[in-house]
Amino acid sequence: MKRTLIATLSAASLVSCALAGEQTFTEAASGAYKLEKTHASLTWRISHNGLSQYTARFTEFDARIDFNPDDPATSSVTATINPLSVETDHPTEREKWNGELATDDRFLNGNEFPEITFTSTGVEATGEFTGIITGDLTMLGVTVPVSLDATYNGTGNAPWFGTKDLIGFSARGVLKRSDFGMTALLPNIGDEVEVIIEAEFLQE
Amino acid sequence: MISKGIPIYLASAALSASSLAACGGSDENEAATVEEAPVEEVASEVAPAPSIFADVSGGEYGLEKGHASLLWKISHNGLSYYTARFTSFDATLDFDPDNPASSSVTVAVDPTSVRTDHPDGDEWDAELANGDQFFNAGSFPEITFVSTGITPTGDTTGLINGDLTLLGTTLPITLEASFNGVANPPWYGGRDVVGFSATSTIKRSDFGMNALIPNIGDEVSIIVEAEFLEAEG
Repeated sequence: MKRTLIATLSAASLVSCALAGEQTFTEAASGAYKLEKTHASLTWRISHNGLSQYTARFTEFDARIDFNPDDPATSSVTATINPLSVETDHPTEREKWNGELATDDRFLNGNEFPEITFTSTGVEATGEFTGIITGDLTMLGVTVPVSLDATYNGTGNAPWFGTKDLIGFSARGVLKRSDFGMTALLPNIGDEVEVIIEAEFLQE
Repeated sequence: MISKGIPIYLASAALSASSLAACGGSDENEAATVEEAPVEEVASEVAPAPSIFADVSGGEYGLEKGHASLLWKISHNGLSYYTARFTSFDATLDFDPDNPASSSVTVAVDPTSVRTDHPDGDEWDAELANGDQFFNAGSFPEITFVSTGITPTGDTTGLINGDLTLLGTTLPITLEASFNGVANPPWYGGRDVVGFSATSTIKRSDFGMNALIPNIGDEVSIIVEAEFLEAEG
């Protein structure tokens, strides 16, 4: 309904501290949540000749969580990513390079495989607010189990979302692109891809 | 200089069948190098020997903008770390391979290049860039960093101290930096390319940017990945 939490904060909302998230499960509602897309990022990094970690992202993705605060490890998450939304910020040939990564059959081949999907299969708690999310990642038509180290950052309520709860997570994982058949330019361009997720979800 | 045992460099925008072929050639060279290398040098994968700098040219380098990123993260209500970046920035490195700690770096960032990927479009980027409670680029069109000293913390790591100027305020900050290596892509002739990773955390309130604290965090994490190309000389 509003562009962004940040952009819509007014003097009135500054006075209110209700926005501040709290790292607790007891205040979070159970059930279905959908991605709050204005506060979600999906960054990936890959070694470039060992000289730097090339850093890019997908800008279009969606996700849903079935959240169980009473037993968080029984929660589940599904996500879909549009491979055509890859964004590199290339300084001189941004659209060309983004397009090549998105559609070339050596890379994300997004016209033939228009969706990358993740479906969790289990969550193993590693701490009060941390866990390992395992799931099936489907990319280039190949489904491989991957795991994400995830942190539940907390829950909060924004006035413009009424009584709907927000919950927020950070997650990180490493996958091998060769497992999905993407072997172009190995090893100069690394096999391991680090995935860095920041995401808030809004109760449905 | 010709570096040995380091994967050949590939310009992402120039990926083509021919660069792949060049890649194959480099693999052969690499294999030859590996055969010549004494077995004990395998240990250098864990702790790179100081001699890694022996292959690096000294002097001035410019940012290789095709392989450079400047991310920042900030807490959003404690729920997530809002992740954005600047897409237009430049840097100059004066590198001293004989004494890396005496190297220096300067950076200039265009605040109007802030990018957030907001799903509804560019309006939010413009507000962040130009709003006087944020980067206020109309009044302060450049963010700069000038190193003042480097403290080594390992063979290839160090703390880069320097002055960050943001919103007209100059304050010392520290970057934790790693030297990742050197390479010689054929399309740059004999010029070296060196790569670094660096991170820092600053407090935006130190620079007078207090808007929306504490809901939007005071601390800003900065994550830099950057390659530098030896200046033509």
